Amino acid sequence: MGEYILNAIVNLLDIEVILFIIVGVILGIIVGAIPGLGAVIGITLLIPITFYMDPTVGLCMLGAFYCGAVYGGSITAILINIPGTSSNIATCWDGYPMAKKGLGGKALGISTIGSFYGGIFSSFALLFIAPTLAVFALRFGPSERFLLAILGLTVIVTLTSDSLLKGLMSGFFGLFLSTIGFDKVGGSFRYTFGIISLYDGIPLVPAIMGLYALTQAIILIDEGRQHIVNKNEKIYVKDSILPTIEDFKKIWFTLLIRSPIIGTIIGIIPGAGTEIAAFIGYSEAKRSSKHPEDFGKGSMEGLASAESANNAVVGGSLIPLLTLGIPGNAVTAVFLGGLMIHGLIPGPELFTKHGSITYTLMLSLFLANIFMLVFGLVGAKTFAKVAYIPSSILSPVIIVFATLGSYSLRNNMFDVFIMCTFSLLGITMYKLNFPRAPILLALILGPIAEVELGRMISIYGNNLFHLFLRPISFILIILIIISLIYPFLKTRKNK
Amino acid sequence: MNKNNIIISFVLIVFSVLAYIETYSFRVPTSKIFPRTVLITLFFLAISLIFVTIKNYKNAEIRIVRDKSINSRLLFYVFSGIFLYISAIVYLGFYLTTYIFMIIMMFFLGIRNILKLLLVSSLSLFIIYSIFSIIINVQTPKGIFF
Repeated sequence: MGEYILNAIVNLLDIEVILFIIVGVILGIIVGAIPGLGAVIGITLLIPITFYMDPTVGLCMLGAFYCGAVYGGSITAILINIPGTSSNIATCWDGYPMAKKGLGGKALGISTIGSFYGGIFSSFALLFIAPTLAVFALRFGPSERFLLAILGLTVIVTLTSDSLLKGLMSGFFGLFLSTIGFDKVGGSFRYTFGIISLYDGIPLVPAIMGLYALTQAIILIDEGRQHIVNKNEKIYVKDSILPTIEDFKKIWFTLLIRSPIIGTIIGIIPGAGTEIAAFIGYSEAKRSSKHPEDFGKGSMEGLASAESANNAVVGGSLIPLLTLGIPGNAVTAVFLGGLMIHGLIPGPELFTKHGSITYTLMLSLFLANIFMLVFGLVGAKTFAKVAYIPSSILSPVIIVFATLGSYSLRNNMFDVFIMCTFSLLGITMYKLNFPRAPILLALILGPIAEVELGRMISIYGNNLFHLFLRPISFILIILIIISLIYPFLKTRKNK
Repeated sequence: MNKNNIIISFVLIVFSVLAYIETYSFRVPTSKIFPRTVLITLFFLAISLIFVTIKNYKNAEIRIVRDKSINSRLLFYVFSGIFLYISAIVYLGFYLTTYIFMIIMMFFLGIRNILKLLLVSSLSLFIIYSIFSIIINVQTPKGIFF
């Protein structure tokens, strides 16, 4: 581990890496601040660009972008009461009232510092927990890896969908799509209909582009608003951006300890995410506050709790992703796509064979958070202006980037048509309230599940009883069952 | 009753049956196991959605989740535009087609200021050219002109 960390530090001193981390943070803040876009769309559009970079540089940029995007949404949430991303909804509750009171600068400062601490805390958690979990993952055989892929799928299905049935249908349809192409287990071509471009299966990047980027561009057009944000919305910033020591005394526990812990833990739990972290961080801060009556009226504690918690999700959500290949949310599912195109398969190998890249990515998050702090404190007011870019400009730009991004990986126009097909699918799913994340995850996890199932059958035959005799497999089966019955328990509790 | 749920369920039922029949053409038996398992499950999930939708319709207490409305005419125009754009790239090349597409698309979406149309399209192309062709040296689709 020590050797990898030293290597990572050397990598991080490379000017190219630093430069792309800065670019990632700035782009992340900009995209995060534009309502209607967000980390998923941004990372989707960046993946083809990172494909042509050195994996270390590309992944550091994606990590930096993720940090910046989660923070960026807080700027518009505070200044114009419009959260850039859904993870910043709780930020509006106290950030905007503060801005209206003439404390917009202080609100931005607290939000930036809160995001910074949350990010740094979760980066430490990632650095210390992930390698240990990866060593544990070495004990996994084909049956465990198969069950892990199924667990990843069921967890994201049950926790990201309003309807379990629709989530499962989306997941199974994705699993079907993952069977298209050359079968690595049996050795035959499936559902290719003689189309050579389909022999390698559905290309991942065009599928992501279609499901997220192009679909979002069309949704923006359909919403029919010339401006996502009304130009008459005023930006209130008159005061100093740095909070005073007195302010810190009121919020230090929430900012530095409670919310980062909540955010990191929620980040580790697959299927949760930045929104839930912000809400829980906020409600916990309110529950234990000496002045809960101030919450929703411009409480610094409320603002700090939401922002510190949502940024702490970033490092936390990368723990199950890098060690077990389970993405915690849609952003990490797309991030997984970014790893896969570089041939990096999550698991123990990521911490041994590709240790230099992985540790550089983990350490780069510290650097990204530092840059985020600097750019946030210096330029938050300027970043807020990007929210005024009209959707009539934004949508064509996204369409063009998505088209070129889909084409560029294989220099194949067929991939662009795949993107369009997936966009049609994405729009249909959006209209009918089907979640899109399971289909994407199934495309990634489907082939892994099938290959491991094939290995399992060749070792143990058709006797599935052995799964219950292996302790890790048994625990994974229990977790899969829990994740499937969780929505019913939740519904019963709500009643 | 949510008719869309019923329609999509029927579509998926027909789809899973057809895809299942196609598995008979796979030469290696082990290649059939995974897709067949997935398709059978999808088939039953689609049937379940029909039953749940009908049950929810009868049970007035259950909240009806409305589907999001999308302007289908607009969707048709946008998709036709995107399809034309992609088809034209092969003949006219990426940069020229993109320039024309951006101007037409922005005009269609309500921007009437010609200077703004030209400026935004040119700037976007400049950024794309700088990133893809100069910084990461990616090949863009070529047409008759360039």
